[in-house]
Amino acid sequence: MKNIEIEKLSKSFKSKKEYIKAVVEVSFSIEEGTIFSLLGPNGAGKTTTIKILATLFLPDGGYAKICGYDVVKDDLKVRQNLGTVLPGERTLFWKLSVKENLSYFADLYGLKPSYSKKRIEYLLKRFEIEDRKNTFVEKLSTGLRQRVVLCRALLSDPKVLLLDEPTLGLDPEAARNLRNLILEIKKEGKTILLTTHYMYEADELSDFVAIINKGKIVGLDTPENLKKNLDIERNITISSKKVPEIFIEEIKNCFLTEVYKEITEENLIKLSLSLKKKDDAVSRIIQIASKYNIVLENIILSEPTLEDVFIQKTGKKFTEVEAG
Amino acid sequence: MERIRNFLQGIKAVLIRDIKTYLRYKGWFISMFIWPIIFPFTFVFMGKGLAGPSNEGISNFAKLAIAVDCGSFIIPGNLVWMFLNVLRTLPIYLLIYSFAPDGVSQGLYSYTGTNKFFSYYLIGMIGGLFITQIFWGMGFSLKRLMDIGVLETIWSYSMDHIHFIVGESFYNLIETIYSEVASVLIIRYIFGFYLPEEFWHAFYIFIPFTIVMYGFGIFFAAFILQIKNPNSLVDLSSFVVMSLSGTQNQPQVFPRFLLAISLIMPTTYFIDYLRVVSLKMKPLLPINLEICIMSISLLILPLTGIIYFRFADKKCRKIGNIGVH
Repeated sequence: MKNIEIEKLSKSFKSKKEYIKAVVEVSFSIEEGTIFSLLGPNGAGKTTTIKILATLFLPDGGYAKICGYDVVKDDLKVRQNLGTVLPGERTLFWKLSVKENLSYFADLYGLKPSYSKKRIEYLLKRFEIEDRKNTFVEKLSTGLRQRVVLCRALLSDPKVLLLDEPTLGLDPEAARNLRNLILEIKKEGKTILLTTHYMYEADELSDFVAIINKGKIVGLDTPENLKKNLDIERNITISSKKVPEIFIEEIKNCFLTEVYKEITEENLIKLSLSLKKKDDAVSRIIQIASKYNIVLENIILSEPTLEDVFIQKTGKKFTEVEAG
Repeated sequence: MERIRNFLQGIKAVLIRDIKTYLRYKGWFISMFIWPIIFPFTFVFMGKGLAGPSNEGISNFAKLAIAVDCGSFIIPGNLVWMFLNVLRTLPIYLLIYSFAPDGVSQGLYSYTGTNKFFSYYLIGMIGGLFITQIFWGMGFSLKRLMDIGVLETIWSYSMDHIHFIVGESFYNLIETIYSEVASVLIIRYIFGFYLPEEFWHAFYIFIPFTIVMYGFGIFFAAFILQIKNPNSLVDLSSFVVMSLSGTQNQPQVFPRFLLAISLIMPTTYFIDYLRVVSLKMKPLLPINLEICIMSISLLILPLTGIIYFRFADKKCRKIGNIGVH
């Protein structure tokens, strides 16, 4: 059963100076019990898509359905079947405790008090924040606050969860814990649509990933298939203190590939390249380096990632798109 | 039935949230006790000043004898206030003007047929505070939720948005009732002034008029949704509604163009009706006509407010600026 269906969904915003196409004829559907990620840089159209599904934005064209209900015509029904986590620090009332916040939102959902009391107790226990139930939200860490937000989204036991950048701003451990919780929620049969601009997050969590850039979906498949369909088989990263341009040119000519140059926090020059075949690339790189008396600090070989998929589909790195 | 249950549950939720939040900000909590005490001071001391040391002014008031002293006493103080807020001195000016319209004292009695100066203003104050809280309460609650960043989250819940903003006003309503009851008690037991008994005969008018004001309030909330930061406009509209409804002076003293605005506002008739029943004074218009105007407002304003709110909500979803502030 398809719990989310989107067909040729479009949304534009007008400002005084420009007309921004935020979402351009996006189509996809999500089966019950799966995690679907919208992966893209900032400004790609991820949040706009989520907000259309959450009935916060009206689309300009196409349609979107949640559990069969149209987001424009049946917005109230849509919201009854949804749990939404929006980005931002202040989506809870800071002067209320965890439990008071959850009770408040349970009432807004129209949940029966006897049910909501049991549900809140269950969720607090499940998300391991039972001992903080009487703590004011303002006293919680960002990670714990995000758990409360996730609890809130699950209050009505919705079929569909929309998670907009759920791990944004969390420290690595809190983010990992939250990702584990999301995977557990999926096991309950929930349909989850999440947006992220973390490649590893999309890779780790998702059954399906849609790569979105400038409002358009440029790739959609399982993470494995997206990577498998790449025409590269290996990534190489080289770091050195000094790298002359002539060395970069020779690497390009030798492997017939694009070379990306970055300067690391340690002031090292980092070169990244993708290779189409698993050959003796390392020994050839060492040979070229010794020819120019370059001392290589390290050479890292890795499998292709979703970032490579993004580069192949858009011709740019994530960071370049965001900077642009 | 389910809809009513959800609505009431939403109101309860908002009420509990607001009361708890209010009690946890100590400054707000303290002001809750201080505000009703200091709020009537302006009126009480002005009234005492007008009445004179042996209350001779009260009787003189009806005999049109206090205008010149009153004006020369109040104007210098208000000149200082003018530096802070020019617009707000106008009600006081009009108040004085109402005592001496052409340099010759005519007074409240000539205009209204009552000499109960203090009751006249006390009723205006009660009506005015009630109007203010409901009129602006919903809109400001919405603004506060936008500012703290929870409005989008709330908007993604399954509660009808109009039910939600109506629920938002209930705390303001309770706060208003508390402030007004406290003010009336303080005025009675500390300053010795009484609300006329007849005031309670007019009390039932609060019920239908609350619905009228909710229409206004929903309209204003929709306005906030659309324009986001309405502070200066609120000051202006607050002045227009409060002053021109005659909360602090009788509308008859307005210049013709202000009187025209005053007479198209149902709030004017609400306050006038309260005073007419309480003080047995002359109404602004024939009383049946006033009731008729209020009845039409009762039908039109809530409906207009709801239609405009739905329109503004849709427009914000179209533009994509619900959470923007």
